Amino acid sequence: MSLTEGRAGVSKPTDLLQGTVDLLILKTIALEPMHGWAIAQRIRQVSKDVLQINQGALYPALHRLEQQGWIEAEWGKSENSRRAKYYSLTKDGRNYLQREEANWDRLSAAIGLVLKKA
Amino acid sequence: MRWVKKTRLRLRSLFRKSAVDAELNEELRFHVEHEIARNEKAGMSKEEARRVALVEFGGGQQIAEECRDARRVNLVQDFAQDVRYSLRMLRRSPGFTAVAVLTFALGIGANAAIFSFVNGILLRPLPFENPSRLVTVLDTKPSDEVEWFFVSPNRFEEFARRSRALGQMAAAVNCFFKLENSTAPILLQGGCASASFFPMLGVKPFLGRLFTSAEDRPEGNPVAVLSYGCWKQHFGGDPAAIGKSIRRTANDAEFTIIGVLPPDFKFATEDFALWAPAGLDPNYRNRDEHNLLVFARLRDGVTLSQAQSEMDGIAQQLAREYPRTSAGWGITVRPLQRFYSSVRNTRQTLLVLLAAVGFLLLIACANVANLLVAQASARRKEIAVRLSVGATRSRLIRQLVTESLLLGVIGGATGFGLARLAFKSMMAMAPYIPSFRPNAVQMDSQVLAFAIAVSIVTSVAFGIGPALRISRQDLNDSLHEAGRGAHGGVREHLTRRMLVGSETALALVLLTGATLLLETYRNLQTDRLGFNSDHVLVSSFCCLDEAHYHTQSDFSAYYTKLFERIRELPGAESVSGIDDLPLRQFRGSGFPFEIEGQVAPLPGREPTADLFFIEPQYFETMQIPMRRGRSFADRDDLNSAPVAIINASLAKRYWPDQDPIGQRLRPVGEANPRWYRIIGVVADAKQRGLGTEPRPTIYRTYYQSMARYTFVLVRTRPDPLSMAAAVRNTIASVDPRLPLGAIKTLDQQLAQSVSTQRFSMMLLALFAGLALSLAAVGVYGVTAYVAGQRTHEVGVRVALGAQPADIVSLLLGEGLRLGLVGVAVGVASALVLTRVMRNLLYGVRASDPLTLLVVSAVLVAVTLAACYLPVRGAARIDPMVALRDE
Repeated sequence: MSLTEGRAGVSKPTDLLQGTVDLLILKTIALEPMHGWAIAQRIRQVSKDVLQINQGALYPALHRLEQQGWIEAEWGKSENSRRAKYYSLTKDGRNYLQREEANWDRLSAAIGLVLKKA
Repeated sequence: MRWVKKTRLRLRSLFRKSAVDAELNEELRFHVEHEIARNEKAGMSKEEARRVALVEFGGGQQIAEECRDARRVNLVQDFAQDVRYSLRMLRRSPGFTAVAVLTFALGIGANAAIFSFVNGILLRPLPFENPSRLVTVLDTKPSDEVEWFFVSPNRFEEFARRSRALGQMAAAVNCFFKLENSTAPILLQGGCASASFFPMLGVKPFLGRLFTSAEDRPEGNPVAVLSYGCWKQHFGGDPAAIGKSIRRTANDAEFTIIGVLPPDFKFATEDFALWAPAGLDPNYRNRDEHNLLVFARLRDGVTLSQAQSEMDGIAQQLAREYPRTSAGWGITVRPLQRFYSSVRNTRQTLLVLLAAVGFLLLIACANVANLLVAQASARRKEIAVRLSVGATRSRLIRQLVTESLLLGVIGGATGFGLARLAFKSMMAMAPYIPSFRPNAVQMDSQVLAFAIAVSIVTSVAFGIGPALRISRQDLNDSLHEAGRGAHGGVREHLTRRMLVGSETALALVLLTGATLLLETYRNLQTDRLGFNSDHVLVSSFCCLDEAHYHTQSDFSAYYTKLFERIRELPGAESVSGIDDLPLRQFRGSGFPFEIEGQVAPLPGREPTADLFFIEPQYFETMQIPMRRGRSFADRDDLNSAPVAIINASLAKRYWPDQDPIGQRLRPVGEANPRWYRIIGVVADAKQRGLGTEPRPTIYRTYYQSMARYTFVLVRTRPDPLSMAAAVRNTIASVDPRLPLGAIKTLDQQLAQSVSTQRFSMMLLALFAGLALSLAAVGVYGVTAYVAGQRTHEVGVRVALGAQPADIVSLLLGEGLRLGLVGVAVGVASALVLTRVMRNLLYGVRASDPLTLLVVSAVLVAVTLAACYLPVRGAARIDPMVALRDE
């Protein structure tokens, strides 16, 4: 499944599982509230340009997560004093992130095992 | 409280749409500006930076759209939009819309109408306490062809004493009262019930109290409770009615009114005006006469089959202990609602009608689906354009389904409206409604809910198929081909043909059912009753009471005077009387008798016959011919030897090769039976009504037996009803204290006895007619469509020298093949399905080959006729026009 479902030619470096984007976003804003652009930049930097989440996937994901109550949005001032929408983790979101991180660890460890041994 | 937050967010997205959209745009713009800034920092020119950012950003509107999707508000907004758009589409093709709505309306309307009966009679639980535990207990006599019998007081008391599975048990019997607060006494039909009756049903009095078990005894206080309707009508709703009195017709005894029943209390088929305890009723004194209806409540945890097997055991005990009255008798326990709804085949009739309207609805839906497919072909281009500008397929399907949903709901509402309009005339035709609520059958909100639910389900089910297929089209193809129409597609073709084929099959099944009922009704109408019902007036009074009529001479004096006076009326051609109305369908068991000189039969195995008491001129009045011997004469009275007349069936069964005249027979079970000498044999008459077999019958004369009840029969020269008042006054003049019953003609009575068949026949014929025309419209539509598609081909053929006749046979052959396949499937289904109607038929078998043949021929003819018009059009095509059509 592509990160940018249905829009051919936009998903570039890596196809990711749908839930992974959610996980990346949640983890990224766990430290501090961020606006959409900054979230994309942060993920790109941290992953050394491997993971590029494009806008077509980022914003629907943000709105969906907000809708599910894991994150909440607030309008604030950006670095250059523009109005920007900042997303932060809710209490529920923090719990959810913890669970999902644990799941991810289990899953990747399991995949690692299979890849090494099989 | 995640859900509070979520709900607030969703509501905001829905109702503050513009604010949310503005925010979304601002958020996305902010993103693009950051991208531009970043690109500039990376060394691009201003324009370059802007261009790259925008390219990368892609379709801003699409992202915004997906964000809205993520907010889940689109579903609701899309739906509203779909509805608006669909309404516009439907308005734009009013012809299509009208046909589709009307088709749906017919299907749904018919369903709503029948459902109102099914709901009122079969589905709604009885309005009593825990109604599913209520049963009725009936006597059976396996050696007799009658399915069940009322229960005798003796047996009822034994049941109540011995049964552990049945909790409260109650008996009820018809009994008549007369009200004397006006000039002429009014006859009121009442019920006599045991004291446990109302507590068992959970009925509480509206006013006053109900009778107690101390009153439900031979020496009990005579008390009565009024129905709410009777209290309103005859006592003006005055609470002072309590304490007033009313007289029982049978013995002129005075009953004190002690209470009023609640307004919504109704028991089964009759409107009982009042209720009195059964235990002190004269009917209850005939301890071995089967005249009680018995009801009971299953004890907690007891199943119906447990109760049944317990009663089977009790029947065996009773047969051993009381062989004279209980040998050969069995007991059956049936759920109360089930029992009443199956009387006179009501339940079966309703289920057959329900199946019929179900079929009708399927045919209607197939037609609408056909229309939708045709409509969609015409809309190919529109749909292709919408797909190419980015509508997703699921979105398109949703919109198309919304359209058919809208058609369905509008059709359903229209159908409900139609059914409401037709409801009055349907109720007027309706035979007999076994319900336990006043006005149980109604076009109420439950029926409306049913109609809407059915229309939603069917319109979505039948709309989704066409929608799926249309939305799967290849863009390029459609845009190119649009308007040319030659690209029907094999699958689309197949779907439409299958729809039409099944329509034909369904219509055939319906038509077969309707024809079978029509034949049944015709058979009943021409059924030889064995008597002439034309120009006969029937009038009754109730009844020679025990207080004033004690001896045979009291009775004889009354009857002599009564018939003399009526015979003096001008216009009266022949006058007579009988103790039980001919054609009344509920009659008790036959009367056991024994024949002189034959070995006495075992108890419970005696031969039985219907027994009638008649005024001597009965056969003359009814025009029933004497076969042998003589009729009753004036000399056959109290002082002469007892005599009887038998009918041909009885003569044939018991004296197959002998002359029965002079033989003697006597009743079994009477206190001091006398031997009755047979003086005549009379032709069979179907006195139990049309469509019944004549039963062995014994007639005895009024002047040798005490008949308390009489139906006076007057064969009139003028219109019988024109003499009704005169007859009524004459009867009243003989004994003004006796209340009179209704006056009707025998033909009216006869019509009532076939009203169930008439009702189902008329409705089924109506539905079959609708089905046939819908199927014809379907066939016409498909043939016209196919012919249109093949214009080009036909043009080529004509250009190459084909004659119009060749074209006609080519296209007609196709229609005919379709029709024949439908007919074949239909005949096969009809053979299976009409078997459920077996009990409703008379004089015709469910698998009657002639019926099937005729019905098939009709359907083939209709198919051909429906094909003919479009085919003739196609055959007349000018090849030049057809080819230029490209």
